[in-house]
Amino acid sequence: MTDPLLRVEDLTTRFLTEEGQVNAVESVSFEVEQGEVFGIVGESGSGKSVTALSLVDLVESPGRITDGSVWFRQSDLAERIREDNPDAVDGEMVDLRQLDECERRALRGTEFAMIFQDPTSSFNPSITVGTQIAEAVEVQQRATANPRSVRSRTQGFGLLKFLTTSVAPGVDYVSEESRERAVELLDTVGIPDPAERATEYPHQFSGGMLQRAMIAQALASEPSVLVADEPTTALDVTIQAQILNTLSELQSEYGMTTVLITHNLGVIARMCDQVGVMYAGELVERGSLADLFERPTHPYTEGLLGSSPNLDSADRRLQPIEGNVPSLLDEEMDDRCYFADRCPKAMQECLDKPSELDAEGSETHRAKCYLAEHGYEDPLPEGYFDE
Amino acid sequence: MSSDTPGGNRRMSLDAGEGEVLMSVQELERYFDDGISLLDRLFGESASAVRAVDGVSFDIHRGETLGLVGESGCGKSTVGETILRLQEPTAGSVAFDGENLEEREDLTEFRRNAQILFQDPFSSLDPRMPVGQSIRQPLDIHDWPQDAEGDPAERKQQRVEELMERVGLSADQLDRYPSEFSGGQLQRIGIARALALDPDFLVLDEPTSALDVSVQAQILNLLADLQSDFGLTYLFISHDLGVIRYICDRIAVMYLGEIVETAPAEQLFTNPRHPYTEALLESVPRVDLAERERDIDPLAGDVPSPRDPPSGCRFRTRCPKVIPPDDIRINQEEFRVIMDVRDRIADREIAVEQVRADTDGDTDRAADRLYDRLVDTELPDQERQRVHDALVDVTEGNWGRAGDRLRERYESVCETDHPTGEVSCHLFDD
Repeated sequence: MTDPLLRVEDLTTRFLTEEGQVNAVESVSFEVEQGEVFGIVGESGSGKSVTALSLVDLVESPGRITDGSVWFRQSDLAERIREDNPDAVDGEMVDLRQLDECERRALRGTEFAMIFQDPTSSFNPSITVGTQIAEAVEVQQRATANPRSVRSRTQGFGLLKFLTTSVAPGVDYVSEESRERAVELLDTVGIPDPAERATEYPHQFSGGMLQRAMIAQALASEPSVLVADEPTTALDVTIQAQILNTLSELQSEYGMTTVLITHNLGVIARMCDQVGVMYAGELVERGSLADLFERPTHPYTEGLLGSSPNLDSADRRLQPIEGNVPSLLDEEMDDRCYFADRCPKAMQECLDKPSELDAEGSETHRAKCYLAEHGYEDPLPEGYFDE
Repeated sequence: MSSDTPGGNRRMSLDAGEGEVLMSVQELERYFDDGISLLDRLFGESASAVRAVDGVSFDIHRGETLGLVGESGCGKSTVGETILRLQEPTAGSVAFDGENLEEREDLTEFRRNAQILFQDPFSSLDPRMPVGQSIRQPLDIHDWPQDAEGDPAERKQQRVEELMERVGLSADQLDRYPSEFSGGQLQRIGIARALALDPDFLVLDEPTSALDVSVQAQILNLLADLQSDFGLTYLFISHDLGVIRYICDRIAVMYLGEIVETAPAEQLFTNPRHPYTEALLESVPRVDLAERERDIDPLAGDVPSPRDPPSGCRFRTRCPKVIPPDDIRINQEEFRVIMDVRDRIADREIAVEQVRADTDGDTDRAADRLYDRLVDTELPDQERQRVHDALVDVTEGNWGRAGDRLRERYESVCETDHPTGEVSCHLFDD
């Protein structure tokens, strides 16, 4: 069996804020096979977006990835790195966390691409959409021509940058070929009349069209891994359906490996092969779509499914999860299961020490829960958490 | 909190659309013409108002929940605010409890009786006021209690505590500030405040959209419980069809300022009639294993501008079932393509300069290129020729003639006549 394309091990990201240390992502591990869509689902504040940012190394201060590794399978890269840094290579896999900054940056926008939730804030409002996509094409070309070049922006730097930005700000440095490629890309993602639309500015695009343009930009480099962070959350349902269809088509056409972050279980059901459920910064359950939907093991996964209104039948009463999402401040977190306060089947053991992600239904279906491991023993007295 | 008043059963017992009418809305209009200056009026071509709500009529019966569903910008929230007179309607009438609000001099009684719950709990409570005081404010404003029994201050305090507990919070949290609560808790406080004066009618404007799904379910269950306990009537505004189905007895679907279809919940979901309703239902991804295999044919395009909505049926620019004239034999998909070309010509939205330059003034070749760009299906010869001719006009810069040429042959009932009736679509004309 070949290695997975992506193997995330014990990824941990912390934010050092004025209020204290926030444990946004805590020891998250998962694997993604080549060509697969891996979905991460969770509520706001569960750490799913920070996980996405950590994968592509875009966590900004005060956030910092403090631990863990992101193994990425790429034989050429592995060959090249092996000489300088043998620790960072395992077979064909390379640990991105151990590469130096410029190597990581060269991977971003070439092997890895990301699309964000809000397309309007992801584009520069004063540059045409076509140019911005053409820039992404140039980045890809430069990276291919010279993998070690750090400078990826098209503006240059030093005196040249000064001249281009202050003396002739209207001049941009993308070639005619890149522009043509940009138009092709816009066509690929289903924008009608792409040649014309490429000359327009972001404000002339609707939200759905701009999201398509962002996908085109991400595709510019024909990435191996696409990380999509809530790509349809800002859109209406009819537009969401368009974008999801486009993403599926591109996915099967390019054989991209995708990590899809969403809070919407319907989107998960439509797009994903494998799913991870996040709660309070931890991955509490992972498995195939069928594992999660038909055999949910962790009480939180069950709760999430039970509280989602079902469009095709109105017969059942919603089963909410009582209580609220816990604080992720380090000083307020004990070493225990963070879902216990809201869990209908919390046990004494859950409060004593945290469970591992090893209770298993099968090789690939795992849950971080004592209940799944050995059943319901020694329950907490009723009203235990009501102060 | 009790959790055994199933929304489904409630719907069975109250047969949809029957009983006493509590609120009746007739031909309600709300236009926004702010930002159009005198100069614009004198010189501008686009000096037209945003027609956010454009001729909306519906009844809400006592004790029922009417759902108002639609995509962003369709005017659903404006309807909610206008019927409560938080905004003045441009035209139309709203009658509450049999009395036309227009004719009432004093709206105090109405304001006591009809309350609203907003979407964002973080911005709808004063951050510098303890939540207890926020809940008490409506009592102060309306001089509650009106009978003179007991000490008013004490009774208010009692009432606030009672409300707080009714919505599932504890009375000793009354002195805390909004920042100390989570979104779900704040929404509970918003509900307590809305219920303070014991109203009959509540507008719920996306009450759970800012909340996570697990907390959303708590709030929806609470709202259902409160409705059966206090006999409340709801107008529930939402873009989320799953939520709408769960809580509503009847549903009105809005598109671009108009209601396109009104039907009992069960019927709307099992047998949607308006093509827009159908498309909307189809678009929602289901939480189901079979979802990946489900074939969705999503609506193309975007919602047109409410400043200049399409003539006739407003949905015709995106409708997959737009009706061809009787004397043309053409399939639905082909007709949709022709209509799209027509829309683009009407909006002068086809870029011709480049094509013109590339073909050195050969209009026929230029039109060929445009045709390939705009038409991606095989049209029958006759239609192909006509569209091509129109594109020749376009390359010559003669937009008007191109438009006329196509209108002459393809003018649809969907663009000439505004549909009326329970389902506002010409497919359902008798």
